[in-house]
Amino acid sequence: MTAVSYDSPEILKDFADRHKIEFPLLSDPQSKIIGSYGVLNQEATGMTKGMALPGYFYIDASGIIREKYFEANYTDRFTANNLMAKLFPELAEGISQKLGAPHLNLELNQSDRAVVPGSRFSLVAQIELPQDVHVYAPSVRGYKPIHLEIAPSPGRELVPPVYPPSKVLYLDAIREQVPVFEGRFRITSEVKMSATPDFMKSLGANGKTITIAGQLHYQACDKTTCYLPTSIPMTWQVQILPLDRQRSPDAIQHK
Amino acid sequence: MFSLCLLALGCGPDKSSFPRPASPLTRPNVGQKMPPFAARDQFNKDVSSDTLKGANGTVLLFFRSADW
Repeated sequence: MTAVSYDSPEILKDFADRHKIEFPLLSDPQSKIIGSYGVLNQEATGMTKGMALPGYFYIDASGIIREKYFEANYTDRFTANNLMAKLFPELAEGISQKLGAPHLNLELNQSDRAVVPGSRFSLVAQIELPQDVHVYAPSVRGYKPIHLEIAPSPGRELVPPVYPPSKVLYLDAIREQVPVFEGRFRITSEVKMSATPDFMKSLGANGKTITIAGQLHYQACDKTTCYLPTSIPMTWQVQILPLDRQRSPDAIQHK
Repeated sequence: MFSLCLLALGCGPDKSSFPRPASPLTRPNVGQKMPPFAARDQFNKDVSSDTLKGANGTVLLFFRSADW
């Protein structure tokens, strides 16, 4: 990952030192890169003149732009970990915990251990089914589909969970085609933390840790048997840190 | 693991009162070649789009400011 802003290298160094950022922060004080990518904020004036619109490009190894995302809502911000987990799920380290669940292996992940107000991060249920065992996909009719349910709570907004593409399985016993998941797959649910003044005030000086509860509902079946529907309770813990309002030292800050 | 917060997408103060874009984003778009660039990073090192390319590609993140 590489980040670009109109800040000077001195401002970027001060910020990187405070936040222990090791990936490159590029200084673009004349907004040349920002302009060449078409992301200059045309309305910025005064000390904000030259700043970029916030967002990202994903560029493949051959230099072709494969994804472009710029926020509609300025307080809705993907965390770096969430972004990397979305683009490179196989590389994301995350934080994981294994849970006991009948007929499948269940591992919970989360993109971030700590976030700030306005962050958008992900909660993941990683599921592995034994050979010849399946669960029903959400589009199934007449059977109990797998469903990741996250409990709503003030201070956060839930994005509907994302399921992988399902497979169609022909079941001899009932002579039906049904959409299912088999093998290893993941269900991801994103959470957007509030950025309202009241919520930020509630964090105090040191932030707070919240517990997000959820349940995984499913019914596992093999070639001959469908087992009783099951619900597995699960929790994720996330630390919510106050926003960083510290500016760079006077001598180097934007005027 | 990556840093816990995402600069413009995370670490700064709430900038909802700061100027917003007047018009939709233009070029470059998905499927186009990335514009080449060169710049200095926080370690005072000169880097370029060529040196930053990885086997998995790269994420180029634009953020508002690390100052305010």
